[in-house]
Amino acid sequence: MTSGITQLIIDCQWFPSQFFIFSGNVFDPLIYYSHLLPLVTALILGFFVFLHSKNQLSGKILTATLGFLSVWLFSDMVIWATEIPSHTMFFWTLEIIVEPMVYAGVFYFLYVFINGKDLGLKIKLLIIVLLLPTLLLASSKFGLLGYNLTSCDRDAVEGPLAHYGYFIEIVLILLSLGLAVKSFIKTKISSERNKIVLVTAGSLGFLLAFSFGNVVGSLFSDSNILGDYSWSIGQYGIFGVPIFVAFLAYLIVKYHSFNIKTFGAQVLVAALLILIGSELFFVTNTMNQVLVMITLILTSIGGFLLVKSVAGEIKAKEDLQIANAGQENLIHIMNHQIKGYLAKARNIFAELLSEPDYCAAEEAKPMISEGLRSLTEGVDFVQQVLQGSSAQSGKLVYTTKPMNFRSVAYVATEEQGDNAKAKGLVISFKSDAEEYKVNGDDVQLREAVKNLINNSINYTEKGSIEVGMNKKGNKVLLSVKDTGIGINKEDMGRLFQTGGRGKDSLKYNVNSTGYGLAFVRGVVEAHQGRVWAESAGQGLGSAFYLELPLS
Amino acid sequence: MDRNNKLVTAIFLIMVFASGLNAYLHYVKNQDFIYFTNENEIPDWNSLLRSFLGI
Repeated sequence: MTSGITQLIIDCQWFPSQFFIFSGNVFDPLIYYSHLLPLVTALILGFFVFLHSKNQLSGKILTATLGFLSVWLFSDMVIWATEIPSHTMFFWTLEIIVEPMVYAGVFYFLYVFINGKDLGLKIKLLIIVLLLPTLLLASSKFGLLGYNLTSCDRDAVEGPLAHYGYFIEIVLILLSLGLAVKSFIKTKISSERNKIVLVTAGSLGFLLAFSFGNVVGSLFSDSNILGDYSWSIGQYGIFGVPIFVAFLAYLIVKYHSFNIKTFGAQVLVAALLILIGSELFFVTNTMNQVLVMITLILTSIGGFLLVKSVAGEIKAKEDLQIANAGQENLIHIMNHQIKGYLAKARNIFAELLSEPDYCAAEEAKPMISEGLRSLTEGVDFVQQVLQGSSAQSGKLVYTTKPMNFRSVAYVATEEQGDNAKAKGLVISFKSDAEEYKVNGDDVQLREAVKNLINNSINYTEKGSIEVGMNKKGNKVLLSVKDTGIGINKEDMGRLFQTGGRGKDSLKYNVNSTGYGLAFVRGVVEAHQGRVWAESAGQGLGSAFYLELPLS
Repeated sequence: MDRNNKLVTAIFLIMVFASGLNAYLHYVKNQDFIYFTNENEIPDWNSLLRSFLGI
């Protein structure tokens, strides 16, 4: 460095920086919030995603991307703060190297996350070829032309490689978008589609937030609209980075079975410790240093206890889930067996009644009839519990085909006619159209409608049951309205849950299993529909609604 | 991930690291860069690129 240049640097009167990133040269303290916060978040999340993802490639890629992002954020802070030209040149070059890597990392992550497999060798080589000039030419005249001492702005002069970097970034954003759209169209499963939408929104949100600072800063710094404030405004974009990074980490957690609560607690504690610990760099007073140390120790102890208790709670919950699943399985097996014995006995009784030769004594017939009725009720009872439990746990198998839902509902109403008459109730069916086409399993849907009507009959002492159907947008709405005992607010909440019968329900329906409406809900939700109930209150009747999408 | 695919990723990451190291040696260790002390010395890549792209 010649003496003339040394003098020019002295004349600029730059502040010396501490720890590379702290100095009075920084144009706006906002950059510490916009860069340090994402940097700390990226490091913590990256560390925990890596720790929890074990052999998952998507987790490893996200960790690497967060590593590149951390280098970029740190380098950017150094560029704003440093008074040493060689540091500006070096960290600026690092930014030129790692910036496209962040975009490539996001594209790679998106691909692996959506497809569940690694990028093919050809696409990977293509992206590497795209990135290669940046790596090879970063420290040449194509990267940075030199250090600008014509003003005291501490700027390097960018060469054409920076523009090439922007070009790669645009290409990678378009590739990411194309990949997401292609995968979305290809899959027909709605849960997969949700996954694609969520991860694409997270990835592109992250990239847009990341680009925001550069785009706004570069575009408007020379214009009259924002002028010098453009770089300050640009910083706000980077605030979005931790949000989207956290969102992506959450998605990995959501779709790859490691627990969000333990993860969240660990991240929270680590962030707190780093933030409190970082105060030690600024505090010079001994008294304050002691106070920070005490806070740090107390937070460490509290954090350890918090993570431990969360982990314990999760283990207890998991144990409970395993026990519940075992119990449910046992009930299922028992019900199946009981149903078999009951059905066999019922058939014997039915045979005895239908064949006069089998039963000589006339006086035995009423007893056999009573036995048959009781066994039929028993089989129906067990059947309802089995169906309800299967529908709720998603074990019920559906044979879906185009069908007329009006016919299904009409047949179900007809089948319940005798039950209603036996209680002296008037049952009616009214439909606005002759046909409501839906894609569904007609047998299970008929059972669901039958259950709704049967439920109304069971809880209506006198009056009527009205079954109605009408079109609502691109959906069909079936209603079952009764003049029965109504539903209070307390019961409404658990109405469609397994075993969720009302408080006084056994008073009116001794055979209530608590599985009938759970079965309805399971079937309807499997058909992408919804079911709900309305009631003005106790004694004021109820209305049950079942909504299905029309095909 | 097959072996070749893994190898390509590993080589690429080493290249990224080497590129960063090269930048350190170039600029910090050897101070190999020039200082512009006059506005006229600075090539305007932006306008060069704009004229090249015709925008």
